[in-house]
Amino acid sequence: MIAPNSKIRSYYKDGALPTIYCPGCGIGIILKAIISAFDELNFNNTNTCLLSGIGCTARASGYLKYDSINAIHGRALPVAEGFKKVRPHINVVVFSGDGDIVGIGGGHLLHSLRKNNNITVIMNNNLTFGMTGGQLSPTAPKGTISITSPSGSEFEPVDVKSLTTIHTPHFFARGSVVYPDHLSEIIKKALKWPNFSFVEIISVCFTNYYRRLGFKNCGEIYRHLQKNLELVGSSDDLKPNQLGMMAKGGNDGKR
Amino acid sequence: MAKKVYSGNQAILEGALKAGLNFYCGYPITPSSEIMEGASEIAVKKDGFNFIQFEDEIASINGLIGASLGGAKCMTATSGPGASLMIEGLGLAYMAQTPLILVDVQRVGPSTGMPTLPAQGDILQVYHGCHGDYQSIVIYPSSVAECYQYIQEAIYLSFDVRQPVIFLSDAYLGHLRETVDLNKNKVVKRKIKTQEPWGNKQRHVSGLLNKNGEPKTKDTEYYREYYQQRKDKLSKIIKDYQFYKYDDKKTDALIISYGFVSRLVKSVYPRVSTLTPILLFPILKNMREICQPYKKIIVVEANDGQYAQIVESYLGRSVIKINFLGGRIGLEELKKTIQKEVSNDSPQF
Repeated sequence: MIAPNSKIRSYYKDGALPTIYCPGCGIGIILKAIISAFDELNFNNTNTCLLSGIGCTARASGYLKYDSINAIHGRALPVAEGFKKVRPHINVVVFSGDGDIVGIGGGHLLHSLRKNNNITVIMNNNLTFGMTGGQLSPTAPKGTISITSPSGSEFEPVDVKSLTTIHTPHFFARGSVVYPDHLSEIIKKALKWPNFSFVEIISVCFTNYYRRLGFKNCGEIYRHLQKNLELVGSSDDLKPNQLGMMAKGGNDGKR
Repeated sequence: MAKKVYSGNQAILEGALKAGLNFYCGYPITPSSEIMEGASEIAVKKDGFNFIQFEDEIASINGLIGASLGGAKCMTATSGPGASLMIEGLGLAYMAQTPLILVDVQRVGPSTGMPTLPAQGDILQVYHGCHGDYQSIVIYPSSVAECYQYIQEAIYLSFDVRQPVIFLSDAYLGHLRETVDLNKNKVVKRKIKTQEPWGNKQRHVSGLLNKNGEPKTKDTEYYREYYQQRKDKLSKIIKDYQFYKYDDKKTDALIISYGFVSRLVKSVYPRVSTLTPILLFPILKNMREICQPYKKIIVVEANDGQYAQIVESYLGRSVIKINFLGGRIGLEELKKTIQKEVSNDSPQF
């Protein structure tokens, strides 16, 4: 619930609420964290453009009072690159899901990392294809049972952290919806980073992911995540269950 | 200098610059690469001109959409296989009402096919390759001077209707060098109504059906209304862009051909009536009127009858299809084939 006269509410468009999200979904918490970071850094609708691809997460770009582009599945990054090239002074923030950024759009991520333009990617990693009903995501752990992997996924998930920290300088941060204050902090740092920055958010999809793994309610999932995730602050190498930041490189961010 | 020697590919770039092109992105592919190479040089020399070499054609078309929303006048060039990859993005550009130019320098396909030989096999692909219903705009010149001239019109048209425009060429035209008289091939400069660049308001563009940024994904009535509006708008604006060459020689047969093939037809049959549409789609408004008096309509093209079948269904009468596949057409061969197909009651053949 968002209080009617709150600051957070004022960032949502009038017709945006109620959103399409299911009860217990993590995206609301992420949006709140993004809005507080925007508010603090003065990323307003005269200097910021939001971009997204397709999926539950991607719908969020149209909910906020910003100029926003909801591109096709997986293509938010190339749209962002083209836009940033002609409007270099506008802050470009890509907010999309795991399927969008490292699944269908994985090839583009490699090249955006290489180009290292000042674009911030916020990836909502809910470990599933939520909007299409819970098919296997490339970030889901090996063994994950989903409607397209009924006997468990055979493959290791995409290692987003290693991928995004392959070049130096780099900025990678991992947060989770179970620690919203930390989330807002790392988003703020990512937005301030002068080059390409990447935030992975361990999120929750009850309807199409955790419910199928036998979780009975959202409280159970949030407690489970809190127990398993560890806040470490800044680190040289984050383990898969650690939340924190890996930033390396000069202040000018030049390679 | 009022006269320049350009290749077709060069002429496309130069013409586009003349109309205000300031953004190019793409991925190299024969026989279109010279356009991209030229654009990369312009980016070094000219302030305010931006260039990106993307990782593939999918990224290129989407980068183009981003740049277009950022207020740029933008273009990419590719060939058949690249155009196939770009077609999904064209759907978004159409839905998001984004002006952009896609140049397709055709070669023999499918797949890698015969990459250095010309063909006209992408007509149906660019006409209706994309999923869903939409109105495509396709322009196909037949000389280097026309490349220079009509790419400018294509840019104006794209901004007028706010949708992508496909500019076709072929391996022959792309690499052919001809003199372009810059004064003679002048285009009336039109005012381009650019949208205010994205990034400073509360607008939303999306591939979803939406009304002023609000998704209307279950509103059938609105979809019909929206679709009709787009159709009517194009139909109104396209009246100013009816490009074709019609040569009436009072014969009983009319040859329709376009692109490089129309040049061959003209040189083999200088005394036969010919129609060379430059605006391929939407079909010329007076196509029916032009064709009406002729006993025979012959469509000559370097594909397996792609434009002929559209013309046939548009006119509601059968046409004689003369098709040349595989990239090479000799004048003698053209003459013989047409003579074989057209019976003796047409003395001019």
